[in-house]
Amino acid sequence: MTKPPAYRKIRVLVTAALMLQDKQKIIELKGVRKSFGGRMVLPTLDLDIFHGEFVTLLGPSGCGKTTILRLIGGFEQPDAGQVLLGGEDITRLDPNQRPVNTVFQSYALFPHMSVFDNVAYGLRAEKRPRAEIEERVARVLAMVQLEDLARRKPDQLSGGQQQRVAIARAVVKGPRVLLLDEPLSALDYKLRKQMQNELKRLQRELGITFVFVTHDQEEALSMSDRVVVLQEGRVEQVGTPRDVYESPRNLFVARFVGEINVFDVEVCELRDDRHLIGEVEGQRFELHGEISAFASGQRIHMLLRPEDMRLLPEDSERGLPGQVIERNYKGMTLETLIRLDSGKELLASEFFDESDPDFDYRLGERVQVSWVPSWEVLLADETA
Amino acid sequence: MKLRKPFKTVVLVLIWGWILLFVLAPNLLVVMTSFLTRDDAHFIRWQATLENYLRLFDPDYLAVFGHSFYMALVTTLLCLLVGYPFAYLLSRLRAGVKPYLLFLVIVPFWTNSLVRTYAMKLLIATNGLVNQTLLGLGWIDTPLRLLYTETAVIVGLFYVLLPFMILPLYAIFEQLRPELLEASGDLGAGTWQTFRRVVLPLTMPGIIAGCLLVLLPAVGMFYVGDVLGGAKNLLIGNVIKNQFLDARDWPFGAAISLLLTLAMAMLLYAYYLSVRLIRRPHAHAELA
Repeated sequence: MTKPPAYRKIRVLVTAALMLQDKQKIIELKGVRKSFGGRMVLPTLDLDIFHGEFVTLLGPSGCGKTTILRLIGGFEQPDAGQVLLGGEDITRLDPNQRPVNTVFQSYALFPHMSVFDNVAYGLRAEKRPRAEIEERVARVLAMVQLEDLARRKPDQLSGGQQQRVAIARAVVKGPRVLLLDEPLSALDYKLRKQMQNELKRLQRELGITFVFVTHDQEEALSMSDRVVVLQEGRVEQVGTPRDVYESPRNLFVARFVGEINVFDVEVCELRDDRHLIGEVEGQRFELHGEISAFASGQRIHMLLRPEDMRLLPEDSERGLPGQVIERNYKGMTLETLIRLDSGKELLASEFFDESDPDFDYRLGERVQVSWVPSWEVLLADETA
Repeated sequence: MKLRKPFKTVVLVLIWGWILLFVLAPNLLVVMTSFLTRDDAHFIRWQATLENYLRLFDPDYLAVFGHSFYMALVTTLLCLLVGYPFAYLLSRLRAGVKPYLLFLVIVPFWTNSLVRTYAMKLLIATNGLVNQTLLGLGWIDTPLRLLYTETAVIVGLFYVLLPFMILPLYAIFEQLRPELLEASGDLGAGTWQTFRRVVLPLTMPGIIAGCLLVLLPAVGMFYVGDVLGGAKNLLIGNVIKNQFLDARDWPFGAAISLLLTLAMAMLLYAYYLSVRLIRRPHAHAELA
């Protein structure tokens, strides 16, 4: 469906206006610390969340992402530091006094109430007039396509429907921030994909800030405006999904967000501020990246995503020699595990191209491994 | 497979035999007796009558029944007022402490409640421990009359029956998911609203179960009335016992027990309905 040009112009203007607004901080965590029974969960956290953005807190279990959400929601109090909402200190406010609503991981629907009563709960707590409640509940139920199920009880709904009720119940009060605690983790793959799209649509329609917690990096990348990668209560990187995936700031981020190949590199010579000559697996290559901090002779890491790797026939002049030891058919792509002659194993992932004669390598076949020039990421050796 | 069938038959015959012989038959005997006439020499005479049931409406007996129900209701209310918060706190405790406190609730069951009632009598008797302590402290000059009062009966029933209130309530509080309370707060409800609209409705089956478990024995525990209540504070259970053992009027005693059984059956049916109302969808909306 193509939209008329006038509409597009308005859209551009609206988007520009929204981008100006984007700069406003809605939530600020300042020096927030939290421990549970002597176990430090958040050492000292500073985090800004902007108005109208879709932020994902991504990290392995136990990284403190749910704790951050609960601190914003008011279910936990920080041991130190402040939580600000729209510039106001809300650190000591109870959950029922915060203009923030939560979609719980288990949905936490009231089992004794109908879908309608569940969604109306927050408005009734505010003692809104009856007519207004009915109108607003009907509107959000339409938004999540549940109008017909308003009289059902939660246990008569499927997992996906319960999920929608939980979302409707949380957005009906028009919160300034919606907190979502792994809301899709209980759904099957297909439903999860569908709900991801619906959540994004909902966030655009409502124009409110979503803070989304997940341990699923694919979900984080596909949904967010910004991803906050966490490990053991520390922020490892904040950036757009593309930043985080293509320019990971350290090995943890690189390894947690997607598959990655890590090479040890010795810096031989700095060419200019973007290029250096480095020795990789005994061969010299010209490498490209943010190298201002490196010195000649230093040991660094080079990171390459599997899809940036290229497999060439054995007689090619350039590349690292190795042998195909595993091939995994993934539908759209073909994953190849290669063992280099040095013993190092690499993962390469290629899109299908039936016309490419070089594409189909047999198990055990010898190949040369190369990569798309300048797509490598160079990082200092953290262990050094 | 061949062996299963006879085994199953034997088990079923045993169970059904037991129920028929020891539950159904005695109850039928009671029902039958209640329609017969009293006889001084042989306990009952084979002459059908409704007089036993008519006597139930004698104002003297109605007053006793009413008073017994009143004491039972007060006992139930007390148990609920104490048991509900107790069960809530118990369910919120750390997993390490919980079993010990639960154990303390159950420990009294190891001593027969009749023995415990006599122990209570010793405590509150005119020269019992309570009065002696108060006298010794100089708080009172003459011993208080604690025994053989309505309060003594209610306190005795409360003491014996409290665990029956706590246990079903504890079970239901354990099922109450804490995130429901968080969700309620998150949606803007204060403590009182959360209690009234989430906690209370969801724990209602436990409240009703606990109330039944207290109320039903509270009208029948004749020995509590005997030991602590004296001649004035009779329970329905005392009246029944007196008819069988003292007045030797078996048919009238049978009629009273049948009345009590019927009242209990009605309460149980009300419980069944209320649980269905909470569990079953739509029922709420239809009644509202």
